[in-house]
Amino acid sequence: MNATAPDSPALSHVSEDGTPTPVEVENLQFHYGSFHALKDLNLRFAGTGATALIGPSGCGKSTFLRIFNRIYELYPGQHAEGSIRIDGENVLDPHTDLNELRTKVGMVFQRPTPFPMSIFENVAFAVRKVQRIGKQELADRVEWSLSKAGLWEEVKDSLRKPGSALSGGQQQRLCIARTIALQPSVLLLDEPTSALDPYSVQKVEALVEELKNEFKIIIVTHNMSQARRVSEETVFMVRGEVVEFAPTRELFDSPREDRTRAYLQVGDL
Amino acid sequence: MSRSLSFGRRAKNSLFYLFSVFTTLFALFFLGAIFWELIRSGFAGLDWSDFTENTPPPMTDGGFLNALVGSLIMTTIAMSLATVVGVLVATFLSEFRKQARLGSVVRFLNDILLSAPSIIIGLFIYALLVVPFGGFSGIAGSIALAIVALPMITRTCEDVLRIVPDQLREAGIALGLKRSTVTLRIIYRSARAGMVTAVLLALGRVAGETAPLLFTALNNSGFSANLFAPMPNLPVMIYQFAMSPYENWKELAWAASLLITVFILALNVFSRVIFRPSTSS
Amino acid sequence: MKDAPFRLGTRASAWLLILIFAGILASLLVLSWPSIRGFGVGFLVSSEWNPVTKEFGAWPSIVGTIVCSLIAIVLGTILSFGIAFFITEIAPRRIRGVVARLIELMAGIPSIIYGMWGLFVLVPFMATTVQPWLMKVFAPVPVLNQIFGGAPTGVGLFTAGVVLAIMVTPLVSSVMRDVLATVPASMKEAAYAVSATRWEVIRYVLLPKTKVGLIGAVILGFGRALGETMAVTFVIGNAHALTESLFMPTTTIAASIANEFNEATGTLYRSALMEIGLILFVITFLILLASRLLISLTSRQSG
Repeated sequence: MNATAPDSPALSHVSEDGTPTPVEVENLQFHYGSFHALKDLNLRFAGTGATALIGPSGCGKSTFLRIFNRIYELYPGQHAEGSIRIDGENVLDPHTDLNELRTKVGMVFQRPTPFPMSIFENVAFAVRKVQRIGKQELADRVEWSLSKAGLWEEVKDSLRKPGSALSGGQQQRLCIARTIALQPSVLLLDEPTSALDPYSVQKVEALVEELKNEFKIIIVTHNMSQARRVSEETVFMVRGEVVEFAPTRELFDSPREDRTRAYLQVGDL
Repeated sequence: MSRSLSFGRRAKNSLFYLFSVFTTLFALFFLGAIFWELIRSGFAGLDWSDFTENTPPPMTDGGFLNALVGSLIMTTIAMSLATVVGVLVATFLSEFRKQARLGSVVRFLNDILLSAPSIIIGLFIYALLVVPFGGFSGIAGSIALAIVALPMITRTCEDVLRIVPDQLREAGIALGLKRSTVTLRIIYRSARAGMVTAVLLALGRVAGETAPLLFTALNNSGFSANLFAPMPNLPVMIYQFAMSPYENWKELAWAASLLITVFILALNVFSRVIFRPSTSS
Repeated sequence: MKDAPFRLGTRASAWLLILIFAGILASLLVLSWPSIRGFGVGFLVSSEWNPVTKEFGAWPSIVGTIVCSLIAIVLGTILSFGIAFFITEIAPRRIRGVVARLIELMAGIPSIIYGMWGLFVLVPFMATTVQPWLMKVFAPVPVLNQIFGGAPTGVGLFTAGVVLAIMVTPLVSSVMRDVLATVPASMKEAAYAVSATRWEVIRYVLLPKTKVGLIGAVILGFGRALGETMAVTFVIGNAHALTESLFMPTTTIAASIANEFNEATGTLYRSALMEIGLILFVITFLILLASRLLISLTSRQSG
């Protein structure tokens, strides 16, 4: 069953001048070998704010997320059909430059993955590789991203220490800083708080609140109250299909589908 | 019903204990006996002049400077070649999993090479480099040793690279970094300690390898750093001198054996020391 | 670095490895061709080895290789079995690591040093003590007096077998330990909980569970023994002869090649040595295949 976001005054998809264009998903199919993991998704995400993907384990929400930057292509036997348009360009076009795509569409993972280098280098490394940028500008960029990620105050005196020396929550914010340092237009978050302690969860959520003003955020979460707190629109998926797609408040308060209602009551058990 | 173990059960248990302890002590006894002989005869033959003079004719004084230098040259070349190729093959196996079929063939053949008798490698290089180019040479010896080391390095490095979590690869790729950058700068860096250990283990094996050198580098009683001529080396020298009837040659053989063993022991200890910090983190 | 050359480099290295393997097979085949064509299948079963008349047969060296490795693996298995259980089940935690490390050390000693030690220490001991004693004890027993008979020189199958046994023990015992480690602790605990003794846990839980893998470890050790060269060359005596006695000089494939190849004159002689090398390569390959299969069966069962 396909769903499109209903019109709502809060979510304007109209592409006026200067307003980001929406993210359009059309006829999207995904296969793991012979397993049909995503079945004909058609969605239109708002060009700004946060979109949450929720659903029971194995429903394909992470799979879906991993198509936006085509990271699934690292593995054999996985392929996608259809189209995902970001800024009008089809991500799945075979001519897409993958490295360029991935600097435009950043991703943060479930577990913090600091690189085996210093805190400074963790953020600077990719920027230096991808963009030609002077030394001072690079240092400024690192400070900017660490500040954006709410980490600057905590690490500004220990930039030379290895990234792995930070706490789990700090590491995750470092990974976010590393990603936004490339100034992407879309930020994919794959259950970014599920491996963190409650205090760090709070910090990261606050960060998402703030970042969504500047970046389009798509967040996979199995924590429903988190989806409710941070997102403007929510996709509810079951077994590779979209059950309901609606503004977050609407979906949680008055779901149109029985399956949504049942899931919201019982949760992911 | 008796609460205590029956005599039969206890006896069998004790008997097995005894067997197990005895076999272990027996094996350790052999280890001790070998070390004892190495130290006794090795130190007796070890002398400063061993490192300053070339291998002597029978019944005259001398050393094994030429063989030591030859071994160093060939081992260095062999390990450099094997490390580069081995790390690349391991990278192919662990990082490019989309080519799974070629990968499994390569992994299988690597295992066969790993268990192939090293003397067969010697015959191969004899056919490949000695016959066509008209003679034994240091370069032939180096390549033979490289082929002995290659499957070891490949195998261990692949294991080590596979321990690096996929999430780290994905994180690098997701930043738009090139595959080569992710591998060279991130994956290798986090597997560094293990990869160094892999190379050291292979070095330990190659340091005493004799069979692949017999028909490739041969030996040379004089000093020679010419890669295109027969090259003196410690293992073949030990073999020839130990089998000889001359006391001074046998002494040199023992001294060289002690040297090689101490080197291998040191490598062993060293690789343990460097591997420890990374396994705990 | 650009991506394309990097991919190309790793791919090329993978192909290089395939090429090396193919090269080994091809070069052994090509250089042994004169012998293969000259002697045909008869080469395998002929006992002749005469460089003067240019008559060559592989039978004595094949038998020598297999018997020598069998002696090694029988002795080595007994040792490894005890050691593996000592380290995994019996030894106190503190001793465990030390013993394991010492046994590992044995694997690091080069083959040539085992050979020297065998020649200078074990051979005299065999000649003056072991063989005379065995001869005396078994003199009245019909078959055994031949097996242990012959001039007590100390070199021969048995001595080579003993040296090889010591050499394969670290490998076999460590694979056995790996195999034993696949048994989940809960299973052992369950057995101890019903008051089984250690031996009973080993006999009724560990052994049945890991049987196939343990046999795989033994076969792996056998394969290693087959190809061992230098240590054997020192103590086998190097005679292309079938002997009734375990104490008479004979030869193995690897020892024959090491010993004769450089002195071999004439194409046919070298070719015959190449052919026995080819035979050795094929045998070790088959043995590896068998052990692989068995070891993977256990890990799949318990995995």
